[in-house]
Amino acid sequence: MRRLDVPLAGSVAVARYVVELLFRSRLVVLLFALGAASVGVSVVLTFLTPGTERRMFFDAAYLGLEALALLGPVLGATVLQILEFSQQTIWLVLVRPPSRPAYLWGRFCGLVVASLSVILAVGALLAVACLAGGAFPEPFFLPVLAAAALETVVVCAVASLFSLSTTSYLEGVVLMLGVVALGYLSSVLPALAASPDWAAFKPALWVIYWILPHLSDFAVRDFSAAPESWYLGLLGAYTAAYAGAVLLVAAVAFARREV
Amino acid sequence: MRRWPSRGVKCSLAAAALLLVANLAGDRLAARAAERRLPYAGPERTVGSKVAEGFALRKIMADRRWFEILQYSGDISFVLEKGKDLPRMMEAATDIDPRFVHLYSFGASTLMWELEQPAEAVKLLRKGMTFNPEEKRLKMYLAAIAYREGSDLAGEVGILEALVESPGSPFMLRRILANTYAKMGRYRAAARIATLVLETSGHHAERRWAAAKIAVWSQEKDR
Repeated sequence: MRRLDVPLAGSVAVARYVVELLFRSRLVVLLFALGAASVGVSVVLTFLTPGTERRMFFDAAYLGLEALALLGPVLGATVLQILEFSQQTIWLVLVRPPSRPAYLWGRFCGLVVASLSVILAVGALLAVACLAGGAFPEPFFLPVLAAAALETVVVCAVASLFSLSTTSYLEGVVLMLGVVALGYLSSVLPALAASPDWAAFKPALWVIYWILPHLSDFAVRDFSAAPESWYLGLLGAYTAAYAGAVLLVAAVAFARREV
Repeated sequence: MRRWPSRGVKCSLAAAALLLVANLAGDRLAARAAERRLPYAGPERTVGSKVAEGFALRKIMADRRWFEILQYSGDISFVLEKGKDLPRMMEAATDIDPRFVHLYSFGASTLMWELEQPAEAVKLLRKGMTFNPEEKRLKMYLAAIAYREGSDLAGEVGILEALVESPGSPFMLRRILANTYAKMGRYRAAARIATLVLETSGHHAERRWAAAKIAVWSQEKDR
């Protein structure tokens, strides 16, 4: 057997293990229920705001979808961290192949598959609600869904980094949520760096800006008009590059970690 | 013997390279996103508005303000105070999302035809037209107010007639036009507007009003 085959097979096995674990722990079902509830709340809001039913429905539904894109990976990675490290089942996984990088990659892929399954399921439910209410065509629907899916991949990478490099799951959750919140606010950093009041901190602000994920660029639901296809394509390229960078850092951090 | 550069160094360099690629794409995305974001209509940017924009919550916050406006409009204090808080609430809501067109049409209708504050209504409409130049409805509202101010009832009714036929027209405007027709003695036209409300409205109270008016106006003869 070639050495290259072992990491790939190991990664696939780990990914499958992670997906099964997240389904068995009912986290995926819980997230889908939250998504369904957000669609339900959106429908209720239409009865309370005459004349703007369509806007209320979509604004609330899109916010719910994006919240799931953030919560899914954070909760998923936390559940994995609790189950693997607290119960120390990770020893069983790592005592045989796969290698640590293969484990990291498989874990990330499993987390992405589980998170995307929730996003797509809720997206399908939203589409059914729209069809039932005659709300299509809606120019924002596919861009918001695509952006939420890409955003969840970025957050999965960040969640994988912190859940594998921190010693407690609380620490991991705080760091994950902190980076997500700062990621949204990162859009104000260039303006701050350009301001004369913050001139002394300009280099640090730019470094922080480059390191943080630019999550506000994924929030296309708050745009005044639907984004173009090239914007979504470039968002995909950003996702691949940023997630790749974070996973490489996670690989270095995980390689040094005592399990 | 350890190889140099070590795997950790190689991974770190690769991560830095990917981060550079990501930021090159990110710069273009940020520029386009800045162009696509909602404009800010207020006198100055508050910290709260910048945070709301960072978390992409402008539309949601404008929706919340709209909900508060609806609740205020249906409250007894709105009648007793003659809607004194409405101009301030409309200003705050349209500052957050100046492209929320329904706010302008609802606000202008209420200010003009219910509260008899034409100056405030015109000010609101002009703000709406600045940020939504493609919206013909707002221009028509302005024209209807102009006719009203010039006591040109026929002109006002003509504009209102075109406005109530457009989708998303506020119920209040349709009610105002129907009552205006009734005052002019044009009961068949009034009943036609009430029938439009009955057929298109999704709200029980509005349909109940329409059914009651149709029952009365269909019995009257045009003057």
